[in-house]
Amino acid sequence: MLLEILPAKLKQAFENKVSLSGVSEIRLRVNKPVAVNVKGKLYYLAEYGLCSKLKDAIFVDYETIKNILYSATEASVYSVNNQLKEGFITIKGGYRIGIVGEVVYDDLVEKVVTIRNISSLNIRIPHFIKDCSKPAFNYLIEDTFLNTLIISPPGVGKTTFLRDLIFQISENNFALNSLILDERYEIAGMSDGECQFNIGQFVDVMSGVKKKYGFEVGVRSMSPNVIFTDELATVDDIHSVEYAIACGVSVVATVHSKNISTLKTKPNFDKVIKDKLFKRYIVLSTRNGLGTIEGVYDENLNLIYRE
Amino acid sequence: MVKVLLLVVIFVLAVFIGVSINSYFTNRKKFFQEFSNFLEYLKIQVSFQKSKIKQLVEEYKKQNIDENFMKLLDDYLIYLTNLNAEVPFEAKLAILKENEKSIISRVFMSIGRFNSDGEVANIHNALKEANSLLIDAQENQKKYGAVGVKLSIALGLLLIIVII
Repeated sequence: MLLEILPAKLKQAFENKVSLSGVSEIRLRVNKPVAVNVKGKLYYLAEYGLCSKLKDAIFVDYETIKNILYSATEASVYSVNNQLKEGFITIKGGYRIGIVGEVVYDDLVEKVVTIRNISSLNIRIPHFIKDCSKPAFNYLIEDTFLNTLIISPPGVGKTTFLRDLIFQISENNFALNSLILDERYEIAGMSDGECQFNIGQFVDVMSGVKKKYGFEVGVRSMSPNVIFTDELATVDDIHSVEYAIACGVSVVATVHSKNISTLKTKPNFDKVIKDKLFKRYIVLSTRNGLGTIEGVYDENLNLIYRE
Repeated sequence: MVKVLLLVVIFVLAVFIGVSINSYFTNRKKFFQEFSNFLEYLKIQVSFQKSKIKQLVEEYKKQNIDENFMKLLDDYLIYLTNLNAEVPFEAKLAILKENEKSIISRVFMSIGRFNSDGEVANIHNALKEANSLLIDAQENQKKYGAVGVKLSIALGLLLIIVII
């Protein structure tokens, strides 16, 4: 699906010269060269493959970006308006396309109406890396799954790690009913009711769901043993996690931060750590490549595993 | 006997030409009526349902619709399955004039390129063009369609009288 949405020139460059298996991001900006992130390093895309020379790079214009969005939405930009407001769309295969441009607000209700004059796209390519979470897995299980927070800066591999963690549950024969609250369609990449990744046998997925709704309705309707979700950010998100934990459901979530020290400086997260809401913290880095387990910490922030 | 047969053939031929003329204008009227109906349908669906355009077209095709418009939608669906095709969507129907073909191609190529508010406005504008084409087609059908049949019958009779 990814190559189908690209114009012929970019499609040919990727088809013939670049293996997408190592690519984590493709960045397209109006009148700028196409940049490709391969294992944490940025390259330009040239007709002959990846390069570091600006003069060889393929540039994209505004029309190209508009056409990519048109193709990505299957000629139905209007159908993704709610996702557009959030600054991303997700296409078949679980590819998430971040979108920026001119943000249009409705001042009366203080809400984003849409994004127009789109100037940049960031196509994120999801990967399923089997067993990438395995070294940490045994530290996350006691009688049930421990409440766990996965911490890393953007693009380091939190979602890939989370995806494998979900897979490991059935791989290790734990019959735990898992519920994924997949707000951005990234974890399971659901498309037409079908999961795009192998995430095991005991998994239910709520896609495109706001966390508050997902936690409340998910706990009541699906009776999960553990809920997995991506990118906690707001105080409402934290309240939703507290609600689920109070209901006796384990929660595994991710958050953007460099490490536990920087996490403490984020609004509301200092209290989360003090209240010991999570029993395990996993910090990921790029020290030995994307998704390196920098440390597994217990609720008192003692290091119990490091890769 | 041969003369009678010839007269019958001439009359049938004249009537056939008249019916064909009428049918041409009637088909154009039906086509533009369907075009207008389709855009009305899209406008409502895009406002409320927000399904992908391909699903909406497939759903619309389940109705009993004009066969020329059906052909157009079939071509459009082929385009929708390959948006990066070398040749973009074209209206190829013989009953359309060149300027009408280009209007229809432009309308179909513009669908789906806007957010929901923009799309509704886009379809609204397209609908105005479609209705204008429909009014022309209706007037032409009234003017030339019925007259064509009458004239050809008259011409047939005239030829018969001349031959007799």
